[in-house]
Amino acid sequence: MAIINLLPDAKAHHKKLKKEPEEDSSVKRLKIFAFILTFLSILTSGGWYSLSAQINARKNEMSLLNKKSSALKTGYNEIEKIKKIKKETEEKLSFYEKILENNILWSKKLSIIGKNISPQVWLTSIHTETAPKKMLVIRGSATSLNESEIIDSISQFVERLKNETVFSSDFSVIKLGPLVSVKKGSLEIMDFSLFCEFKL
Amino acid sequence: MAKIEEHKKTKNIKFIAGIILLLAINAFALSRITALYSDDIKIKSEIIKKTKELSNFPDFPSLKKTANSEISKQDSQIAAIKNNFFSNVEEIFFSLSRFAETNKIGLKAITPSEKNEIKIPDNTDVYVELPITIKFECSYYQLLSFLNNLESLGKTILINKVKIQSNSNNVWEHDIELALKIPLSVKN
Repeated sequence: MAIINLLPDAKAHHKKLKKEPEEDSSVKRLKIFAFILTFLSILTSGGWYSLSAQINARKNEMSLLNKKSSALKTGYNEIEKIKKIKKETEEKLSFYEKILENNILWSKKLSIIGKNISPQVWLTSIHTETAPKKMLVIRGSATSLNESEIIDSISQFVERLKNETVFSSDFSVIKLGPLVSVKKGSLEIMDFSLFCEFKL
Repeated sequence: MAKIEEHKKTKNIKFIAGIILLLAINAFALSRITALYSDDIKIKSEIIKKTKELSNFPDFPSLKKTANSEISKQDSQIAAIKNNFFSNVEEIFFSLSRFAETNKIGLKAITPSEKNEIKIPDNTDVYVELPITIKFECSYYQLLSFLNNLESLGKTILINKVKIQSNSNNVWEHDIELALKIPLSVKN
């Protein structure tokens, strides 16, 4: 006699029916996870690629800047050389200018001296001295029948010289030295010295 | 049935392997991105620094142009100064005697001394000057005319010392002594 036991089979069948959907959902979850991972992979790869491209662009920019910098450094060295040449040329020019600045136009100075001599005055010597100071020394004498006129004529001569800028411009000080009176017969002669110190 | 089960199992293993691979790819990519990002920040800061550094450099071409034009201006000034120097000693003696003759001055003595050689600051050139002492006898106005002739010659003659002494024998004549320093443009 055949025994038909439907219950366990039914149970078993029921169990099977229940198990299959469970497996499907885990696979589904895995699939979703795989999809997300794939999407993330695409994103990270894209990000990686774009970042690499950006870095390459920046490297190119950096290399251009480096080239520019090296060109500027060459330019800087060149400028330094030119500056050195310029300094040397300036020194050379100032050397020549210094030599020429001591050049005095003596014809003008002597002409002014001659032009401004009073009738009562005559000169005995004009010379330059270097010690103790560089100066022009003018020595002369003056005479007149009128005693006061002698000193006046000397002072006028000195004043006129001081007022002549062409003469006085090269001197820092123009001063009259001691006046010495000498009697020659009935005539009184006064010797004088004028010291004109050159500007340094 | 068993085959189906085995097939499913294999499929699942492959699937899991694929997921693991994807995870590995993501992890690697992320690590690379992090490294690249830090590189990017570094390069970016270098670029900013370099750009700032370059902006501090002056405009070299215009600087060079200005400096060169100043040098050429100074060179031409030096050339103009040197152009007024006597080129040889004979020329100096010739000028002195010519002007003495023009002004009817009898030269008593022309005494040249040793040439002075001075090194110019840039050490490429030497300044040479010839000291000459001249003695003569003439009137004050002959002297003025003689000096005026010398000064109008257009050559550099530096009169270093002047000595005019009245002559006790002749009121109109004076004993003159001039110490000259005459720059020369070339060594003679």
